[in-house]
Amino acid sequence: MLAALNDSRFVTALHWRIWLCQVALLLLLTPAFTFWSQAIFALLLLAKLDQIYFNRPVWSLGRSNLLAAMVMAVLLIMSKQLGVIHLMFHFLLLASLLRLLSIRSDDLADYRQLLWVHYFLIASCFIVHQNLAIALCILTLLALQLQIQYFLFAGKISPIRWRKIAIVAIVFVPLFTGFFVFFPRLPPLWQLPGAKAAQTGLADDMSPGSIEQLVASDQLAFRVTFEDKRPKQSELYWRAKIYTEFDGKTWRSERPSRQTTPPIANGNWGYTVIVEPHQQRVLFSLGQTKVLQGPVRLTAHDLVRSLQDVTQRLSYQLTSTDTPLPDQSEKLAYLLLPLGNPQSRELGNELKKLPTTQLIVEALAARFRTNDYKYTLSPGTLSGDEIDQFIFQTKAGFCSHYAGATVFLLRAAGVPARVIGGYLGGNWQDEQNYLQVRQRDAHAWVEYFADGYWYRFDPTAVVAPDRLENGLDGVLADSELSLLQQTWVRNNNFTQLIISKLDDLDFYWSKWVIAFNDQQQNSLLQELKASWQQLSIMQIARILLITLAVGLILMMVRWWMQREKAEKPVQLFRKLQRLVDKAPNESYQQFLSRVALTYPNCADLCQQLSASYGAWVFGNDEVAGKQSWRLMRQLVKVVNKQQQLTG
Amino acid sequence: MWRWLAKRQPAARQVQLNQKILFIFPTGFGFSTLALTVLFYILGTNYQNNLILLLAFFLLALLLVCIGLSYLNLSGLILSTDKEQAGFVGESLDIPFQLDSIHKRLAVMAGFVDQPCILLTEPRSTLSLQLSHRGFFSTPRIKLSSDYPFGLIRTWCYVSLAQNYWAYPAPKRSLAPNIGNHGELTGDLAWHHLSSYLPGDPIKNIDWKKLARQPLQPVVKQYRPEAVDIDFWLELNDGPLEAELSRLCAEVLACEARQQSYGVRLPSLYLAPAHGPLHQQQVLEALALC
Repeated sequence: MLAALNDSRFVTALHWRIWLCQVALLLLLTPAFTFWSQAIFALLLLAKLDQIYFNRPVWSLGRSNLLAAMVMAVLLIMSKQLGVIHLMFHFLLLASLLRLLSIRSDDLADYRQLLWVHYFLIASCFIVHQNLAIALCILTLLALQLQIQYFLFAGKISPIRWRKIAIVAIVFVPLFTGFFVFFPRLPPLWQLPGAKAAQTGLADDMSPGSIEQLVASDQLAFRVTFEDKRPKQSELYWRAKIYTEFDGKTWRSERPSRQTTPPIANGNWGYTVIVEPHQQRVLFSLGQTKVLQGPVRLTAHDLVRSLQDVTQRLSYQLTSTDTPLPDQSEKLAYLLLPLGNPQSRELGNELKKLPTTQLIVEALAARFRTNDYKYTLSPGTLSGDEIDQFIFQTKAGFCSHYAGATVFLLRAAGVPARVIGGYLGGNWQDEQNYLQVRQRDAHAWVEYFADGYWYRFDPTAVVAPDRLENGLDGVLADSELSLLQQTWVRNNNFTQLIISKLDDLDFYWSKWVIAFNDQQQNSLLQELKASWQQLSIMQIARILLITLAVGLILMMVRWWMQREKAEKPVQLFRKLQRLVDKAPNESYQQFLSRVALTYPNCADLCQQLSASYGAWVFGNDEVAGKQSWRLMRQLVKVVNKQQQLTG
Repeated sequence: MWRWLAKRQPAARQVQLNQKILFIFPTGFGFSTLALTVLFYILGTNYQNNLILLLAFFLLALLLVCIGLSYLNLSGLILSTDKEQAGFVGESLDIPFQLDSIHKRLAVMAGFVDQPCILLTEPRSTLSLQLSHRGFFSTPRIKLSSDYPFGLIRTWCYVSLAQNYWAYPAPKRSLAPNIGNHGELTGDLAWHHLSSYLPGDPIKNIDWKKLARQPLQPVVKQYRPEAVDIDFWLELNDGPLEAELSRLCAEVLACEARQQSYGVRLPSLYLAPAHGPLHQQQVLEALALC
């Protein structure tokens, strides 16, 4: 190996492959890096490229250490905003870049360290990305890394031997999948710092225009598979956040309380949710819920929260019923109103006169239905007494306006009410196998308290009932829709088909690979054990027989491949020897001359054959070999005919 | 440990590497990769990230498969001895040996135990040995090792080939004037053999009788200095043994260069005067074993 490291071509080939690995790592870990650190890394990579192509000497350790110290100092200053994990990524990538720039060719230890750090960085890529497409890119990076390691220890560059890889894969792939399915898994041992990134999805505060902004994005929020029963489209109200406080402009979500609602016994619907990373702890559920599985917990008001920030795809299982939530706690917070909006207060006082809460709600609904209220994305800005302006003047708004105004009016009428932020509906994919909920399904609605229960009321359903069934597509004016569709990638039918197929693939990848945790493994093992116990004697016998048959076939194939084939000259003369006897002490050419004497009319055929046989066997002439076979066939025919004639 | 090895694999002319004599153990890099696997398992479990767990399982499966691959790389290799070599003390001797099916194998390093290794690529390879003592020795064990394919697992074996070599005493002309009889060369030239005539050969050397029979193919007689009949004997004189042996070795080489017969009168060997490679070999071997 050391000799190979002295060969500059070998070293160059090795170095540019490692360089390619590092470029790929920089690109893959982009979400973890700031602009300046990426710039520094890119500069270092360019320096290495220059080193490779112009055969410059490697950097001295002193220089690379100095640079390392400088960059690390800068990073440590910025570390507060980076977070521990990202700092670690920076450090590792910096170390590997500098190591490649200063690698010494006389020692394998340098290369080993580099390869080790690269493996760690590849694992880090998996912390940042989990979707299928990028996972495949990371797999190719892993393949390149393996190739580098192979070349390094094999001592030379060789082309990829697919056949050998395939043979090794026969052993490797079952071993690997066996580990994945059967290797014991543990629940998380302790808490580790998560990778910090910007929060997405519903914010803690619902300020004017926030939901409108959210709806402009087509990003995936989460996906759901239902066990057997599927709710109707109009029942898919995914509760995420509760907004309690209103200051005249913004609704604030309430502080998470330590209380938990008692879980229900059993719900109508059982479902599994796979959430995209949004760096928050908020999760999604329908109605009254019980947690079946997953690192999540039920908090107050039947909301589901994750135990840790969701920094990577998370899967959890719930069972729910769409019934009103019972609540015995203090309701004062749900009656507070800020100053201002006198007209709405007036309206609320009038509504208070109605005997039951139900009538109040119906009156409000009737008001929205009959007074020309519009549902639009861009209602114009409101200021000052926003609720008054919305209800009495503009009469146009989006779900957050309607929900907020409804809650204000209800509170003014003495009914405890709150705004619920979440998602409405979703798209069924793959023949109703799973539901896709995107950011454009973000919604806000109302819950009011009456007779010990919280009931749901959606003002949007009153003003724009099509929203429930068709989402925003069926509700907004064309002009607004076209504005949105510029950010939604859903135009062409054909691309839509491909995209939806890729989405399906990504979903199943999430379900089976990403979400396969210890509980799922346990259930899989239980299933396997149960089905094993259920096997009858006949089935076992059948399986054994099939295995035996396959084994026998493989053994026969192997025997056939390995049997000793007679040497080619022997094969060539076999047929002729059946017709004419050959003495054991004769050479083949002597044999041919005797045949020529016995059967004079094929004399020159024998001579030609003798010549080409000699050229083939002793002169390694392949063309003569083919000719020999041809001549032999003719000779056999002639001799055969001769023998038949003579009887 | 060498005794145990000697029982397990006695010296043989041809050794095939098989499961009995090959050792397998992970290298340092293999252990650090194992540590990396454990780290990934912990990391993946804590983050509940299945992809990192997958990577951990991948590395584990790779380690296990490498054991097999590394073994298969060396298994079946046949090492066989070549002819005996001889050299002088103080030089380095190249010991050749033959390998079978080395082309299919990669990165096999070989060397004598505790000596630098070379990479094996050809079916015939040589390893050099520094000769320090005279005598007849058998080569030390050869260590064949390989880190193929990923440097994670190392397979090695200690092969003892039944290969012997001679170390003749270093030839050193003594400074003292030679005692012992020398043969003086006479000026006579004696006939040696015939060869075809080439233009430029002296005409008077032509064999005229043959020319009469074959006019078109003249034949020339070749002469060479006559070997003297005086016997030149090699004997051990008084003095330190090694120095004497060195001197005698030098004399042997000198006589052989002059094509002069020399006889040997040693405690272990008595040889009539003769010369030629076989005689030289006998004499040198006797000197080595003195």
